Amino acid sequence: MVKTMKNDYEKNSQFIFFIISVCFVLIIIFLFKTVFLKSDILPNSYNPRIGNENVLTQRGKIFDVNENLLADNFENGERNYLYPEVFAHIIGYKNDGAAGIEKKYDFELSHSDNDFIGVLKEIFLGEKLYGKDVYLSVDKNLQEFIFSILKNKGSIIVMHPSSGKICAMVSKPSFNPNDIEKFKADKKNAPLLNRATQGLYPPGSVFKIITTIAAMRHINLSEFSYKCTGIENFGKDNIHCFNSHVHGKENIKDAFTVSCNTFFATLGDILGNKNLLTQIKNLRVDKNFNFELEHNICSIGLNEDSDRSELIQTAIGQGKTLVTPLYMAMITSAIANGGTIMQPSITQRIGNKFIAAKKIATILTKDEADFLTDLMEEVVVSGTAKRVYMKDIKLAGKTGSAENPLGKDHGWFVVFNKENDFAISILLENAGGSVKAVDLARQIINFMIK
Amino acid sequence: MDYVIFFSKYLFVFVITSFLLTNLFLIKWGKKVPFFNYEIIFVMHSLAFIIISRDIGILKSLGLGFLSLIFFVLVSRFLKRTMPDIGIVIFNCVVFLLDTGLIMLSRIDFYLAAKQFLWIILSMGLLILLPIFFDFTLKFKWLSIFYMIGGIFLLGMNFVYGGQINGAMNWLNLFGMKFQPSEIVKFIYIFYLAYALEKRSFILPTFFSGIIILFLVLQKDLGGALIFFILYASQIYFVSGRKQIFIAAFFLILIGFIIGYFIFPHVKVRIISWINPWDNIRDEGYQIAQSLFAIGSGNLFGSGLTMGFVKYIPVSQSDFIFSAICEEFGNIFACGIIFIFILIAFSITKIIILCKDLFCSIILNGTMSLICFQTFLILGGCVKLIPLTGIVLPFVSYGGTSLVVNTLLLACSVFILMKRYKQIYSAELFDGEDNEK
Repeated sequence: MVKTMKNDYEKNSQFIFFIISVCFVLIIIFLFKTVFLKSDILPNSYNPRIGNENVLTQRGKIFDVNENLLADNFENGERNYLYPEVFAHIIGYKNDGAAGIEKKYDFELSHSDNDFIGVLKEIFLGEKLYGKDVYLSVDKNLQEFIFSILKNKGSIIVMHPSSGKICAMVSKPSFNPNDIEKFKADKKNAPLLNRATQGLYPPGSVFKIITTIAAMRHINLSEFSYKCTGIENFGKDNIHCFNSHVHGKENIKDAFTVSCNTFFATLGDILGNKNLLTQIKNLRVDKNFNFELEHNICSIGLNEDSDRSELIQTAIGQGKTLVTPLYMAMITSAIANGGTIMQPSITQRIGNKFIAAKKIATILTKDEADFLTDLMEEVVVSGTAKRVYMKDIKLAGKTGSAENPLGKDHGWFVVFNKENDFAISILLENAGGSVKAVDLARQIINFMIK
Repeated sequence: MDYVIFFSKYLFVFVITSFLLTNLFLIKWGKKVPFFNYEIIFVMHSLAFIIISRDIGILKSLGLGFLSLIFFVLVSRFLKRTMPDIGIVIFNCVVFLLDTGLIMLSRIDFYLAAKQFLWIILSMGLLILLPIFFDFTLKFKWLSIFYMIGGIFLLGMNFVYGGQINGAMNWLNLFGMKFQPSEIVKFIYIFYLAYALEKRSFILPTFFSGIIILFLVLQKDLGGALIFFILYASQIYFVSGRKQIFIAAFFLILIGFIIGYFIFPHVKVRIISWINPWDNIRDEGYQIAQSLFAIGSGNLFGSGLTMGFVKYIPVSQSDFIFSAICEEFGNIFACGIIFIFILIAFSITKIIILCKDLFCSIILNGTMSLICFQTFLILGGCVKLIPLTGIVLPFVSYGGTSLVVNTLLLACSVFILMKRYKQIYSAELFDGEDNEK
């Protein structure tokens, strides 16, 4: 009797030991989970280690997609930027605060993959120990070319629609990362601002892409027709077409091709606040997304209680809605790749680890994407972007000129080509319309396909 | 020196691995691994204090390092002469944990480390009194009910004289020395439960446990209350053998947290910071986020001693000392620390099997549950597995009362084993004499 009871206690204590072991194994799993996810956790402005670590390694180098060197170190450990102004907004800087890739991948750049063997080599062979190298997805030649042709204030982004990888991104005016103080003082031109990702601009007519998608989802757009008289009255507001041009009776394709304001204002008016707003949100205009560089989120001027004036202004891209050139590149890419909005990315790999392309969401159906492609191709063939038309390459684009309180209209142009897998988003501040932007696009496309 | 620190981290991992292997062999086959030796931890000790001397000064560092080295060596020579193998393993583990804690504390705050060293001397000194105390307890088991009442009274004193540290009202000031009554009550509680459960009376212990837990919750010592509850559940399971108790305990804790979330603001803060520290990093989530930063940047082998940012980890001397270890010694070493606790638990289950006395078995089970679940609660908090409950890591964190109580409890376990061996030995002797006749 006593003996059987005794055995019970043994079993009980073994069961408690089992529970304890399970608990401890859980802790070990969580410990290594934290280590495994450290690249997500550690880059945080509340982490005191960022930028203060005393590391044995030399900072890693930065290369472009074809392994051309972009940044390495001087003998004294200072950073050496080979193309300081051309890559200023992408690579950023490390002294006097930090920005860009230098900030985002600070940890990777300052930590080596195999410290142990590295330090042994350093002691016995005198080889310097480097942190991990960062390979951008940017093409140095394209970036330099675009930097040289962009004279205006503004920005140009070239993206691969299939992967969201950025192959060039220029923002003007630029700055020299070796002399931050001087450029910080220039409040008027704000050269430190990366206009491509942080600049918020009224979208103008390029926003008609979004209005079109919204209308497709709520009314039978292909059957819809409208007679443009050059001016249309909506309560308090009169909407003019460009130069009060009279477009006459038109369907969506005609109106999109000539960028008819009264047509799209009417579409917005029919949709109403709620429907237009829902579709703008479905297209993730105001959603944050992950991106290596500092970026701003677009802001929607429209809300459920907005008045009619704000509604029709929003429909034609005026009003209080503001977008970044990066977002326009993303939505253009989504149309180009059949409807998926990709997470933008400017890094190809870190050390030997490739950064995979990531989908954010599918925002368009295949039919919707094809329909828009059709409309945008017509813009290039016979519409407002005729100047970029090329015989041997099938381009699809949309121009825009955005009124703004600062002076002449901003010029917008987004364009893509499926076969060569590129999408370009151009914004020129106060360029007085989209003509210059379209011409720049032509030069860039010529450079890329030759 | 940079290179010394760099290579020291690999050495430390080697030390803890060989330490674990040595003791595993000792407990499993009762013999030493031929070329690994337990004394290897003194290599770690010396090297660590040499490294720390760069930061806090040669005199302080080597002074404390040398004194504690001599102390540990002397004590282990003295104590281990008479101990059976399992006792040696438990003792080795305690010394290793104490040493790691001492190194980390010297690194964080030299003054605390010096105080901790005095506490270590005190708790080892108290071991001399242990046999007398233990025989007394065994003879007058029924006295423990008075200890218990005294303990609850002590806990109640907190309401009147208690000082606050980190929001919890659980410290008493006695002759200028701070101590934590709840730690002493843990000690008493384990003996009382053993006495009561041996007699199979359940109502009175449940009543006392309820009062203790209520007191602790009111004093905002959430971790303490949880520990007592788990200890209670574990002991009841041990004597009854019903596994449903753990399921019930789990759900009761869950319900307790949910009710606590709505009633007590400090419980709510803990839960919010557990669910999402990143969005509340400015205030509620700050502690846990800093802990995760430390663990993440520790990587496998750590930043090297003195190279980490442990001074930015909040309460790194007690609650988050494990995160500090993860950062500077690396996560492999930290796993080793966890394995040492598992080793302690394993040794105690071995003793439970050997010991044929119910009273002693219950004490042993209480000791194992207390030390291991306490470790689980605080480590789980550090790695964001469970909400943070603000208790110390046994033997490693700074905390005098906790150190003394935990050392005494483990010493009791070893003592029980030694008594048992004495019994077996004398019985064999007796049998032998019988056979000769």
